[in-house]
Amino acid sequence: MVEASKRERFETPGTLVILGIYLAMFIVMWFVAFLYLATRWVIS
Amino acid sequence: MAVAEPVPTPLADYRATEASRWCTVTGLRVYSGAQTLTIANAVAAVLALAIGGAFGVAIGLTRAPGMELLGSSAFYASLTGHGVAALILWPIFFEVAAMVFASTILLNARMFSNTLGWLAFALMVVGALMTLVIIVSGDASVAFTAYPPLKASQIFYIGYLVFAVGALLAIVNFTLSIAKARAEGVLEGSLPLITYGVACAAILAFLSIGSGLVALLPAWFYSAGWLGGVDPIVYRAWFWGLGHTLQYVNVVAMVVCWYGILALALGTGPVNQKFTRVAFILYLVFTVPVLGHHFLVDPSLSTGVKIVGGTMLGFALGVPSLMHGLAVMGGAEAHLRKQGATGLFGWLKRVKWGNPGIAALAVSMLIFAIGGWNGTAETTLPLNMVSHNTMWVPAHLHQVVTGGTTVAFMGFAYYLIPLLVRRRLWGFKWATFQIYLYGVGMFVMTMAQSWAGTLGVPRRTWEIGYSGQAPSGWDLPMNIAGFGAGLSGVAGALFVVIMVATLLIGKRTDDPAELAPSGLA
Repeated sequence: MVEASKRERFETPGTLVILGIYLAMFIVMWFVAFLYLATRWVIS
Repeated sequence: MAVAEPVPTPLADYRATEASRWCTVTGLRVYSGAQTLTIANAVAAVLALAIGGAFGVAIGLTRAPGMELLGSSAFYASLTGHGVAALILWPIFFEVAAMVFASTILLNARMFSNTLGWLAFALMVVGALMTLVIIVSGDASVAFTAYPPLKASQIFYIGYLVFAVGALLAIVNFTLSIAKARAEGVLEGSLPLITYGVACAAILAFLSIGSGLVALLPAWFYSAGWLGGVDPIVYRAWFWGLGHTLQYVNVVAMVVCWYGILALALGTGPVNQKFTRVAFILYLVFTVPVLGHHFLVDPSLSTGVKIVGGTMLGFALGVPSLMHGLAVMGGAEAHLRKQGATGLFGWLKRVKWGNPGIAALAVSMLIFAIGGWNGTAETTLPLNMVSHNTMWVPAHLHQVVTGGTTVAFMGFAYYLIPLLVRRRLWGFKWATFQIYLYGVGMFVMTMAQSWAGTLGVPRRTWEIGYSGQAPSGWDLPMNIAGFGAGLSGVAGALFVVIMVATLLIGKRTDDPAELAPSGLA
């Protein structure tokens, strides 16, 4: 029973990896946007 | 999908007063009234997309400094027509088609009232025609937002209002059709997932259209000279109750199309239905307050309200979309693993990438996801300060509404229309090519628009040369954006051709394999 429930919990590993990559890129790009703003502010 | 046997119901004799048939693909009972009205709304939607797309290509080619296709008057008329046709008419006609389909065919039920359904459709068509004709005549070049003190011809506002009343009647008919199915004993237990999602979209549409009526009635009176003025700040708040909420009607309908394609192309659904239903409810909770993110630079709201309503809740609104992304991809992966797919991404090799439904699902999810990045940056107050009213805004809008919603609608239409008219999709390979071409065009256009936005290129403006004072770096991204708009225009025209050809000359068939081609490799 325990093994069966473990298998069910991980029946979508590829989807979790894809969404993990998406969220990681999302957060990185969000911070990059702030860095970009800060750079523009310093230059100006 | 397995073909279900026709199941006699205790009410069969009573309901047999209207002609019906059994769908050979889904096993569902299709009443002629619901079928005809769904097709009529879908055809109107495709025509609206054709008109809105033509305006859009003209705008893209005008904003490209290398082309500058239109003069200023024609540009602002086209900008208004593009917003109205592509952002209001196309999605709402398609969503009404989805409402009729989800409240009748999916429930094996009849419509509450065929007369009410056709009255709603007629009002929507009349309102749409009034609005479009006056825009083309040049008497309503106020953009689709129509902010006072800009003033259009009265016919523009009356057309908008007649269309809105028609759409509200369609929502009433949708709600009463579900109630009737329940009362007749045809519907027992929970609503099917797609009907549940469409019901959430209908609730948002009701709020959205109601808010639009509050905004547009005084604007009409102002246009007629019966009111001396309309407070622009009050108008904007009510208008975005329409404009913002309507975009989440589109998003919810897009997600419904994702599940529809998942069911018809891959024969499966989400791993956990409760999870997806909670995600639909979250849209209802977060959508309305987030209209605040349209006012991040307005002097009318405090910074606290902007941060909570515009920024923090704006982030929260991304959560249900992520949940649906997980549910759709996870549903496909789990189903394909049961069929023998192995490895982390082996399941991706088991889908037929040459199937237009699969292509639409992938392109829609990918471009919508990119639009999520863009939108989150824009809803962040400090970032909005520099991106507001730049090309970042149309980039985000086209990523979520065009790349996301429109592509999902196109992919679902490639299954829905053949099922309803019982004809094989005309030009199956062309349909797949059309989806990918549209996706490439939208990707190129929106990335170039984002680039232009970071350089400060303004949106909604006919001329960006500023008598030679504008930075020279503005031209290249705007020319690339024009190229992307052209590619999407060609692909959009191809969609219309495929739909019309399917309706008129598609091969008549009841073979499930021809009506709903499998997306499994």
